[in-house]
Amino acid sequence: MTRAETPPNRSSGRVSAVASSATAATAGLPRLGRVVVAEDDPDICAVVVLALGRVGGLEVTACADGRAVLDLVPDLVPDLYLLDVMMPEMDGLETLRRLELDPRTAAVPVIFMTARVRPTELETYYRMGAAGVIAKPFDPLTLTHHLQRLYAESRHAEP
Amino acid sequence: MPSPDPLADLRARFIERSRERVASLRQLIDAAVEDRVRGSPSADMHEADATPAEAITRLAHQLAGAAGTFGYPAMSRAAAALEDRVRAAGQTARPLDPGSLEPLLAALERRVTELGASAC
Repeated sequence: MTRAETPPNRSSGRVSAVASSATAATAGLPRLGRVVVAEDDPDICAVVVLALGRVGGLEVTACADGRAVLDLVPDLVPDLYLLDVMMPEMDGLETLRRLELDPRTAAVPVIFMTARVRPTELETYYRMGAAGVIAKPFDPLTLTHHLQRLYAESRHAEP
Repeated sequence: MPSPDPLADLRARFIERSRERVASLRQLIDAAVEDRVRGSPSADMHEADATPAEAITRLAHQLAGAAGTFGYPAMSRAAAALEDRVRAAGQTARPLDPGSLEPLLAALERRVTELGASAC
């Protein structure tokens, strides 16, 4: 089962429980098209690319670390970033920080995929501005569905 | 004719790569023993790894995450147990005891061997 975790209500600072079903009303909201993935593990990276690309029909660009993600800007600014947290060279948290500092990417939602999903860790991700968390291990065949939902929710939450 | 399981090819590649990773873990643990004697770096370490313990943690972490994603929970748990043991050792002042890792590594090797056999 893919555990897709939704961000807390930022005004309350509360971290929500794991959500496993698509409950958001996504009709009429923008559809996810282009995704940049950063994952240093080649096996997981291959699974994510297959799941989002061949199975999910998304346009996927894969990077081995956060620095490669930043190097894509401005040639490629996707609809969404999907970042591993633990990566060599530049980890997901630092990558998020830099993406938020760049006006060209600041509005693009960032979702983390990580096995580190203790409450304190989730609080850190959301406090830094993550739009959601995909907990590892995840079900590759439902990954696109969960990303689409988190993307729709992040767009819906915008003022 | 394409396989009905979209992950079939990736699973096969993962199992093959897992054998290589477990072999690397074995070498790293052996190197950790050597490092305790000689204080020299190991040849199997990634450039981001400062010590054999960091390299073992990284490899075990990757194996745990990927195995779970491919639907091999027993192997994932075995790799996670190894990762947790090395992390726990890192939080103490004591040096890593490679001997304490041996049963965990052996369990992980068994899981990988079983997967390889069932995939044949």
